[in-house]
Amino acid sequence: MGRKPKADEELVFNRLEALRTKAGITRQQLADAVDVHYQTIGYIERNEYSPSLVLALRIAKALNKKVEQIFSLEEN
Amino acid sequence: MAAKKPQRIEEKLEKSVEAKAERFEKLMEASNDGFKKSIVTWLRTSQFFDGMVNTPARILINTASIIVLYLWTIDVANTENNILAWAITLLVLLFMQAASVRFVFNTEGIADEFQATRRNLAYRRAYRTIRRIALIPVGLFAFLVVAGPHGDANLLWDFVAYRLDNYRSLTLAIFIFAVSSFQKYFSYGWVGEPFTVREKSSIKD
Repeated sequence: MGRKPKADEELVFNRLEALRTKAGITRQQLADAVDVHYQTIGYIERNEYSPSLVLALRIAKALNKKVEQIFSLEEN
Repeated sequence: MAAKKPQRIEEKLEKSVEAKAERFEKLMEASNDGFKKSIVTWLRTSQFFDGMVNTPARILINTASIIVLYLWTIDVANTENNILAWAITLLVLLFMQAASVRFVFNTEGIADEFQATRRNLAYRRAYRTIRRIALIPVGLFAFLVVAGPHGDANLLWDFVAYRLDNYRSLTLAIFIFAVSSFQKYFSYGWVGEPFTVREKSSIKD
């Protein structure tokens, strides 16, 4: 679905689902906090969409983490 | 001296009316913005349209749209019958298409950045498709001029004039409007949103 990362496009990996679950919040709650649709959180968690810097920063703020703790260029 | 006093009162009255009008205008604007915001929030977060946004629903809606738009149109134009039912069905399907993509094409501020990316891609694809469709009559005309029976472009016009009465003209106008309106939804793709549970996570603690 949607914009899947292309082979030549650099992938951004994330630990969003794990951190969100650890924080005890639902996709809907996180989506409301960062002002996006809850499905968008799902796409990000499944690495099907790389968020903009603004959204990445908003997510980091909502989870009280640093951006690099959530997003990285290497798969952890 | 006596003439100055009423003038001052008039000025004061005028200023007071202006201030009240301005306040009323601001209040109306604020309530209008609040109303718009509440609609946008509802469209963004409501589960009301969730049944229409998944892939099976989009396949059904797209298939129905194609059948009504391309097949039923031929029947309506040929039999010169059922134009109202056909037009209403097109409108209903157009609304269903809009709902199935969460109205991202319709109202400013509804789409988040992921939806906006997908919407813009669909707009570009739709523009290309419409450009190609528009080239068909131009190409046909050029073909008739170059390779027609007598190199005669009037042949096409004669055919159109012979076939196109008022009823068919109206059908054609609705069809052109519908083709251009539906194209962006077709370009959005057949794949809808996955069935994702809002409240639960696939990761267990």
